[in-house]
Amino acid sequence: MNCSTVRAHGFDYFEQRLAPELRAEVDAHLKTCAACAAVFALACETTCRDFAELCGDFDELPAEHEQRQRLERHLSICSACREYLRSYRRTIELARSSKESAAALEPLSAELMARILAQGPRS
Amino acid sequence: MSSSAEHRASNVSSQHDDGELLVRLRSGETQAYAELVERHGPRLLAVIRRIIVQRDDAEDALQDAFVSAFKSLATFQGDSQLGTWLHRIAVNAALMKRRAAHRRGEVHVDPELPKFTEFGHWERTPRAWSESAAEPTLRAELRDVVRSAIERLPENHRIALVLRDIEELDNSEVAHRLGITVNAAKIRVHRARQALRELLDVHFSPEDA
Repeated sequence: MNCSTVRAHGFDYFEQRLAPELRAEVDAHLKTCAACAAVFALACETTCRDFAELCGDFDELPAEHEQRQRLERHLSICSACREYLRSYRRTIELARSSKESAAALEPLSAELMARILAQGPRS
Repeated sequence: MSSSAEHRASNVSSQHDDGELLVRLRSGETQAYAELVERHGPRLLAVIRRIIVQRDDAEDALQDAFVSAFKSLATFQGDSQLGTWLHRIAVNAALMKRRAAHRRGEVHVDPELPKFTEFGHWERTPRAWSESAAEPTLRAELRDVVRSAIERLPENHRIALVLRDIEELDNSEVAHRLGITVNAAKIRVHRARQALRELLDVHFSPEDA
């Protein structure tokens, strides 16, 4: 098994979803490949729960910030959290664009206008 | 003219009109007050209704906002735009009204938050959101979907999200308006976004195979 196949299996590996023979192959690779072993070890430092808890800060943190780098390491092996972050960002965009356009604004009712103006300037 | 150029042009002309309106307001011209309410009222009511969903209460808050604007017109420095100044007054009036009306405890947002296994893995793996809803023909419908999902959020969370993501205040400003710490504001906004994401998920995730 090569490095890219091993990393593609990362998410299922952590989710304990890999078939035993595949898991054994990944484990065998991790024993001989220091680079993949390091990525897998670092990925364990952040769970999906941690990621979901902290992802609100992700875009606000500078690239060199330690917490951001930890989240990025998790993202590098977790497709579920990548999807979560994408949809979380989209949620913010959708909220932002839910503002009504000027054309869609309803004029105030005559009754409300009168009520407000009755409180207006008093000479 | 491109739409952004039109937008800029209309902004410039409304600033100009507001400047003239302000002069008339300060000279006590009654008609100017009616124009002020007519010009800015609908937008301010929309702003307030994102914070106070109930129409009657929102209209009362709009009335309060104008009363306080009328009172402080003399002290309005004119260093911000009239629209921006009124917007701030409207948000404050809405928050005040809500504080007076709702003295109950925190509403829980928990049922709408993502769930995890004891090992910290997703209980239900997040699925990719489809992009089809970004098509122009669906946009108006989508806006309604998003707006009604926002209305379904527990009030405390809805207001935090409205202030941060729709009114685009920064975290410390949100904290200040809500009378909570910056950290508490950040958490509340994050929970609100998470809950909103869950509520929208059904509209964006492909059907289960």
